Amino acid sequence: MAGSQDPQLPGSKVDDAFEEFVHGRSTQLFRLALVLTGWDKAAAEDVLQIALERAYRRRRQLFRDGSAEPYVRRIVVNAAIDWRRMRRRRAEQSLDAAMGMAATDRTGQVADRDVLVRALAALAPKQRAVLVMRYWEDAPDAEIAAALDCSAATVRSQASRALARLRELSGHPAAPRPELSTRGENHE
Amino acid sequence: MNDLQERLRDAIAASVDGAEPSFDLMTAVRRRHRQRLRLRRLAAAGGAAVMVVTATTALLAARHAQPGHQVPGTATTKPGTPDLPAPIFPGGGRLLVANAGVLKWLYPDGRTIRIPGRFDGARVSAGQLLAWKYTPSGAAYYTMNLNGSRQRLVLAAGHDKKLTVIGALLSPDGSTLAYIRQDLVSAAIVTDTLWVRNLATGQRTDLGPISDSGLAWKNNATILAIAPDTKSLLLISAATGRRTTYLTVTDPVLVHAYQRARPSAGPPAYIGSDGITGTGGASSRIAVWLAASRNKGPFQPAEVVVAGSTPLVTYAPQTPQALSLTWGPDGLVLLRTGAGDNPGSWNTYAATLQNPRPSRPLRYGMEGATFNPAGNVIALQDSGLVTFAPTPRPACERTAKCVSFQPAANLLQHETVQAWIP
Repeated sequence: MAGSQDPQLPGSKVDDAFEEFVHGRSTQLFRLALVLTGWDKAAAEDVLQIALERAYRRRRQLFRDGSAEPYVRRIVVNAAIDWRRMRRRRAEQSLDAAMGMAATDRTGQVADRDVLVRALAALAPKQRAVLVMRYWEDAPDAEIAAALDCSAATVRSQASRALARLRELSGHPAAPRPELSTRGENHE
Repeated sequence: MNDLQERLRDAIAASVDGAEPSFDLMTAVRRRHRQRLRLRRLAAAGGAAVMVVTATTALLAARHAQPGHQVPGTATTKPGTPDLPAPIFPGGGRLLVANAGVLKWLYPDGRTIRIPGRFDGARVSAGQLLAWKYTPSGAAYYTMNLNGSRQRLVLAAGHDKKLTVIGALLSPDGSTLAYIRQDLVSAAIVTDTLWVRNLATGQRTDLGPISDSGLAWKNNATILAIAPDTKSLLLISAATGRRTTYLTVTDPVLVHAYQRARPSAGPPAYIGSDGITGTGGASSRIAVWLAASRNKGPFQPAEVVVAGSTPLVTYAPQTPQALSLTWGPDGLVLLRTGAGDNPGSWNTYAATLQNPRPSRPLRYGMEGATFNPAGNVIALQDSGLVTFAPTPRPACERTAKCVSFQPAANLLQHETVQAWIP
């Protein structure tokens, strides 16, 4: 993202830098929101708009210290989790309905992917966010922890639990490795 | 990365392949921003009238506030955006809650006192607040009086994303901060190290590797921590870093207590601790967490409360996976059981140090449970929702009075309870 690291960015150029950021990163951020909202396109668009509008309000500061992307990603992740939780409280969405768009787009693709994506959609919102950021975006645990307001230890334990649950749901055999900690929930 | 993780990455990539927003995002963002500004102007116009009422209410509330609990020159509401009155909650005392970067005390009569500044969480430690705020490069910690005055940065966030601080806790006399520092060596390797910081001199000391499962101050000079292999509990001198083994997972009295409570689990394979209650002398009690080897089936965790090295009571409620203990007043404890972040799998039990049998389960409590100061009401935390329930019998019989009311479900809907004190 050109210009976002420049501490001397003049105020008149901030809007240009923001627009460049949106054009350069919005597709990846949209896809992140899409996965986190359970492939609900309307919700993903809404989540992304919320995140970008908040970033727009703080654009001068964000582009001065180069923290626009982590800030927006954090809002996307948390807005998507909140959206999923609210939806879960109202009514459970059928998995087929949740996967409607993705299923259409992936007609003819291997069943294994379909099973995994459906299993991912069935995970709790926070667990899904951890897996998506860790294994799809290759984000380090510290970055995931910052996005989810938790500790890196909690990220690791959530990832471990989420993978175990994913194995159960998708029928993949368990990997032969020990999982030491179910604890760590008291960390900030 | 193993086979499942690679398949997962492929599956996610394929599921979003070609997906794009269906409209021009910049136009939408600017429109949303203009709408927000319009709403703010409308709110400001209406807010002027509300402010008169709010200011009067705040003045009246301040007259009744407890000594030392007012924030000189600090309004209880933000100018132009007055806080809604807090809901009336049962159990008395005052609740410290966090919501979207705002910390505030709630009183049973609906008054609120907002802590100045933005903080993501806090705990009451050594009679003061230890509050933290998340930054893109980690958490920064501050100490302050309970009313939020005299804020002092005691631990700055790291300079990059490769360092995280967790489990920070003040010594009982408030002179020293202990914390676990996590260093990201690589995507797969994180090291956990115990550090202390002398708050008078600012000196930091590396006390060596420990487990990331938490720490507790035994007294002003000694920290209880868990060995990195989770096979023993250590007592570590905060001044010298000298380590002594306090209890091990093979300690016969612990093995006996565990196997009596979990006869089918075999000997415990892992040890941890949910902290200490008491002053560190003969009256102090330590909660020891024990669990079976995962290779032999479920963890089957149990909590053994020990005095010195003598087991007093062992709790082993039925649980699908996790068990944790929270200390309460007057020999009361809360036990939380559950699996993962499915709120429906979590239950909370009240128990006493006199009886290993917990009360009937209260549903939920996935993200925490706290007694009120009297011990007869419990706040259960689930994903920003807080439910208040009376402490069930027989545990409540240890308190001055058992109370009875229908659980107040989701009384707070966006807050996270940080502390509940008199």
